Amino acid sequence: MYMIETRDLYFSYPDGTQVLKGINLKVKKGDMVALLGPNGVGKTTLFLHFNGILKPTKGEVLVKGEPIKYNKEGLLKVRKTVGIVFQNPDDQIFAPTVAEDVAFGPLNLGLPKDEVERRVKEALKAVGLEGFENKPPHHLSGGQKKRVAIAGILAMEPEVIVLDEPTAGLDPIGASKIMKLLYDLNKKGITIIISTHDVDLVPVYADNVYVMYGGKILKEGSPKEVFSDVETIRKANLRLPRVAHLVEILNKKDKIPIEMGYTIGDVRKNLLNYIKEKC
Amino acid sequence: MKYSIDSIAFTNNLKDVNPKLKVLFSLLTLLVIVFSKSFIAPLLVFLISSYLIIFKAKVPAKVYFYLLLPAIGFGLFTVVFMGFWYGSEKIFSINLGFIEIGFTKEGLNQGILVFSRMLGGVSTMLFLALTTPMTQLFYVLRWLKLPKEFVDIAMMMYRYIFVLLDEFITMKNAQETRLGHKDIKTSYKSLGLLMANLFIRTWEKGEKLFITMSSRGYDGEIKVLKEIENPKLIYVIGIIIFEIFILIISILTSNIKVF
Repeated sequence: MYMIETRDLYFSYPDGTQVLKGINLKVKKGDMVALLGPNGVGKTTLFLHFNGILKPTKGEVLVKGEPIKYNKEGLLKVRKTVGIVFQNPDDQIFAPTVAEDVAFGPLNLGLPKDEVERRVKEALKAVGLEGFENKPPHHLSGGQKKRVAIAGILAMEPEVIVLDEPTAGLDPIGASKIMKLLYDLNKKGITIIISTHDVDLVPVYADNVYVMYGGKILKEGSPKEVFSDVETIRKANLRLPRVAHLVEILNKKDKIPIEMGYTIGDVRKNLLNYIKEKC
Repeated sequence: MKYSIDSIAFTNNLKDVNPKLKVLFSLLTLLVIVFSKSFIAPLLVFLISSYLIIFKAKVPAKVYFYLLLPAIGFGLFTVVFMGFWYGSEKIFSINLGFIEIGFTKEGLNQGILVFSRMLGGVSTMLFLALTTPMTQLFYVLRWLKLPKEFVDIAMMMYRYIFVLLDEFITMKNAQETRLGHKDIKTSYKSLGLLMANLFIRTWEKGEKLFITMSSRGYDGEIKVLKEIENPKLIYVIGIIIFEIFILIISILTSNIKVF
């Protein structure tokens, strides 16, 4: 059984633009999946199908093996299981204080107040924003707002968290902090799906990568498998991670046969091996 | 943005005082002032509020007076205008060459009363605005059983004022970079474009917000976690005694007139 599965998913907007053209995607429980693709290929549109905000024009979406039912109870159930963190936190945070915003989801689940309070506290602790409860969102930085947005979803205790461009607009430290947070959440058993075009961060964290282009999935597999198909990566307007690119140049132009790697750790190991062999 | 009312409300020295007390104090005082027939009671309230704002809440006096300025300007205008509009018993007149404007005793007294009420009223409202974070006021509004829709919309307005303000500043800077405000004519044109654009952005934000809220199980009603506890009875009684005191002063001095 998959946490989220889409079967031959098609979607067109009312004006006729076809955005998704037959998406097949399977996400296992406990995985960290990255959806890699440039801007405007339908990543956000696909995500909006995962909790029933959008209804496919053809095909179906299954959550924990069951097709989504698009009625009030069905949608509430699905939204309890799958939480989406949107790209711009200002589109998501609407309440005048941090605590009220984080409490919004759990209150909608109809939980008792003391349970909601416990969840708000835990969610804010998990994202490292203890003591920010009564702050208004406009007194926070971009990275902090992103954390509030994530806490707002965490507090609903979903089994899957879907994040649209979680590192967009953040400084390098902020971006890797968010990725580290997601990695920790994933270790606690939450299935995580992110969309990104940050190819340098993906190989470090993701178990499984989908490359999306023009409303279709071009390739699927482990970061190693996906990035070894350089042609597809370039076709999808993406590039190799910087370190992989360096190894590629060393291989091709300088004829130095270092083994390919996609993270700094891998390349360092391969480079050391090569140096030891030669010297 | 250093001295915006909002940031002062969040940082002043009275921010932790129970907001229910502040609302009670402001509303009752406003009521007493509005019905006061004496100009002395509102002036007394003005002095007390100003004292509370400047010395107790530690709001910079400059900011406070800047916020008072419109009220003072409008108040002076009222005194002059009412002076020659009402009553019949002229006490002095000004000759403007082609026309003679006479000021009446009744009108001037009436004007001064309105002026003092204005000062008193604006200062009590400023007291509330400068010392109480909006976020706390929303709880009080809910507690006062105002219609849910009203409070929900007010809450979102408060949140999105700042989001849209950011958008406004970004767009204005973008226009100025391209000389969109080089003279009056282009300024008007650019401002029009900016407003139109801002309206569309607002609309888009609204649609997006609805999606994100639905995604967290929104069903048409915003539920709220916290409540503000009731203040100690002794403080409530204190405020009521204060109001009675002002009321008595207002009645005792209702015959005192400037002219």
